[in-house]
Amino acid sequence: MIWFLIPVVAVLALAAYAVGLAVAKRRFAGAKPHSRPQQHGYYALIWVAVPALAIIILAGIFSGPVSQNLVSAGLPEAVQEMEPFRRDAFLNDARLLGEGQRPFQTWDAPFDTLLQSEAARSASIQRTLLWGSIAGALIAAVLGGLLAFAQIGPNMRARNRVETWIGALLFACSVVAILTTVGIVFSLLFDALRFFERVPVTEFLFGTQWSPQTAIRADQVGSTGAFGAVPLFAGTFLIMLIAMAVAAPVGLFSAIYLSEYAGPVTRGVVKPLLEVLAGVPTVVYGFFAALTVGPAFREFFNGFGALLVGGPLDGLGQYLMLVQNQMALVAGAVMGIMLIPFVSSLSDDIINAVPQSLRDGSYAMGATKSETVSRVLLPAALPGIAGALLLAVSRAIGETMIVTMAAGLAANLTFNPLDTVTTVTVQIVTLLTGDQEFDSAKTLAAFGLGLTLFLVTLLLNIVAQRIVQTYREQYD
Amino acid sequence: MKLPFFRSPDGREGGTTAEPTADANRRDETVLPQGEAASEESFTPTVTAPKAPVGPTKIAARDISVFYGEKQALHGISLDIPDKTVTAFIGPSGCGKSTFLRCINRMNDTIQGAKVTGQILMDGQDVNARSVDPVLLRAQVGMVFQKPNPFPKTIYENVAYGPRIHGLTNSKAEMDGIVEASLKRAGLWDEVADRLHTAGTGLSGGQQQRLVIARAIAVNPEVILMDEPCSALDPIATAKIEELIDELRERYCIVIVTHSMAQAARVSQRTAFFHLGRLVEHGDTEEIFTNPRERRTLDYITGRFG
Repeated sequence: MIWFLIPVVAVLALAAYAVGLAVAKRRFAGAKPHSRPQQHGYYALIWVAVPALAIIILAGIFSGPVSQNLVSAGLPEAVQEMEPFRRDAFLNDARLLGEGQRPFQTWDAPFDTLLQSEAARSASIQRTLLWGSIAGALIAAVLGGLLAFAQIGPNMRARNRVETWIGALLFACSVVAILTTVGIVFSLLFDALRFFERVPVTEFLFGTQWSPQTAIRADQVGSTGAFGAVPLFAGTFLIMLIAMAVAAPVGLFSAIYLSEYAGPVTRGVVKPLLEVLAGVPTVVYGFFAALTVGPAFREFFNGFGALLVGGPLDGLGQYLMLVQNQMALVAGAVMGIMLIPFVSSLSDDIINAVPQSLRDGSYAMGATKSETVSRVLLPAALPGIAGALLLAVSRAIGETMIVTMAAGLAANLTFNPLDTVTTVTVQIVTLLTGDQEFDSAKTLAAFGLGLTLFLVTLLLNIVAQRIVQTYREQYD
Repeated sequence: MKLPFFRSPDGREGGTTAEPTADANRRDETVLPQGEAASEESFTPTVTAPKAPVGPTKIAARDISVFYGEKQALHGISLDIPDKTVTAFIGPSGCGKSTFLRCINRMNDTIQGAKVTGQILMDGQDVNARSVDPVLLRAQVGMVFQKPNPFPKTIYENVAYGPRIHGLTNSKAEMDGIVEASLKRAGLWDEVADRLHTAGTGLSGGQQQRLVIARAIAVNPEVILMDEPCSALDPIATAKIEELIDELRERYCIVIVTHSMAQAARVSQRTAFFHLGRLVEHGDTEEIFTNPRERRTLDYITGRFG
């Protein structure tokens, strides 16, 4: 692999810095230079590192596909005429053998000899590509360095050029995140489209039946599957609503307590404790929900139901006595507890950021603490708090572990918090774990769900930003 | 004895005799409660009688010391502040003038570790007494800060803030009247009448500061404290505020902290000079600026230090 060149280029770049510094100092003798010698050093460093790194990265990304294309372009006719999947397997084995590894299968004549020759060809193509890119990178480094050294002089605007390069570097870093997101969307989109070829979009978006089991073989007895995602989204939103009903008031009020009411000692103790909650892995919350909260809630409802049985609310009593461990309420409540530190720590920072002058102004008008909080601080902090709550909502929608363990798997279309429900994320997990074949509607459904979930959270975020902006215009 | 800090929630009780003022036509006579007249209780001012026509003593500080934790910020300040007068506090940064100002409406209560000893008598009542509720005290003693701090609300809601929290009105019409009268008295009405329901933070710095003054006078206070109200403003806005201060003097006891000698000379009738947490000298502004008794005062006002 070519990546081993990176430390080499780093060493070369550092050397270029030192040389550039020395050259600059020598050439500046007497004159008043435009830029400091260090900046000339950095300039040389950039010219050595950037072109070489660009070549290394391009080679690292494209040498695989390029060598594959070259190998398959020159395949003997016998191989070209193979079925596509056998040809791919043959190519793969040739590559492995060329790299000195064991091929996956044994090939019959005449392919055993062909394999040997193709392996040799594949190895030589890869070698050529590798050495070519190494040479390219080193030459680029040397040429870049020479170019930079040649330019060093009192009148060269090294400072400005280095600043431009730094700007470009920072821009590149910010683009990485965006490009990754775009890549994720496209990979989702590709498989989701394959899914929607099998299941119509309308059935997926508006169907109320979710039962993704399909027959794997033609002779198998099984349902053809139903892919209506409504129950999943209903379950997701039910659990999100329960979680926010717990997390929003408790988190917000504890933030208000911490920032406005608590003394420094209380604050010093309570705030870290709250933040410990944020460090608990969600799987721990998951079994807390499944093993502690679930049974406790069930016993409570069963006991309450037993009291009602025989009375005027007999039907309700009968129902409550049958409530199970797994229900939306348990998952939602525990998820809410998980989100409390998230909401409170963000809101606390936001409330603290409200200028002290507003507090002073309110107190000087004779307002009490609670009047100051409700009439001045909260309105001023509202855009930030709305943002914090919407962040919590998207965490609630994306959260998987707690719901997997505490909400159940049955895709019921219900708004009854005592029923078992299932969420989009849970279904994605169950669809993609275990042995799957990647062209059944069942597996591809995961991508359909993923894409829809992505679009929903995207929409939420856009709405959130709109809200925040509207308030910001009013308050700044 | 009548406790001035415990008036009924609508703030209408107490003296309603308003002395005629020059700008009577600018006022809303029917809606806005008139400024309470000075309390009948007599108590003798201890400061030498000033030459300028100033009102009776409104606030009498007796041996005030303030500690922030271990650090003593004020050392035994005794000072009488007359009513219907502008009193300026001058002195170099950190000399304690703002600290003293904040004692008058007990804003030091909101600072952790601050301790105040001594007495501040307002109309003869100790503001630090246990029976005095700072919330009601602050309704009587308005405050304007260095940086304009309008709340993130509309202009209307900013002015209505005090009357709302103190329950001064019973109807929307009454509230409209208070808002209009306060904005008129703060000289802002003409500039904002057509946009009362836009954000107060959208005004210019000078307008914001007048909005804050309107907010302070909307609860009909007796005293207005101003902590360097013009230090963040340009000269034109400053001139407007100073003009306003001069008008407000007819109704209120005004105390202003300022770093500008010229401003103190322009707006105040009385001046107190603070240095290193002590009150060095106080008296008529004219006297302080033309014929100070203390060497340090002379040095400060002539710009030799500070």
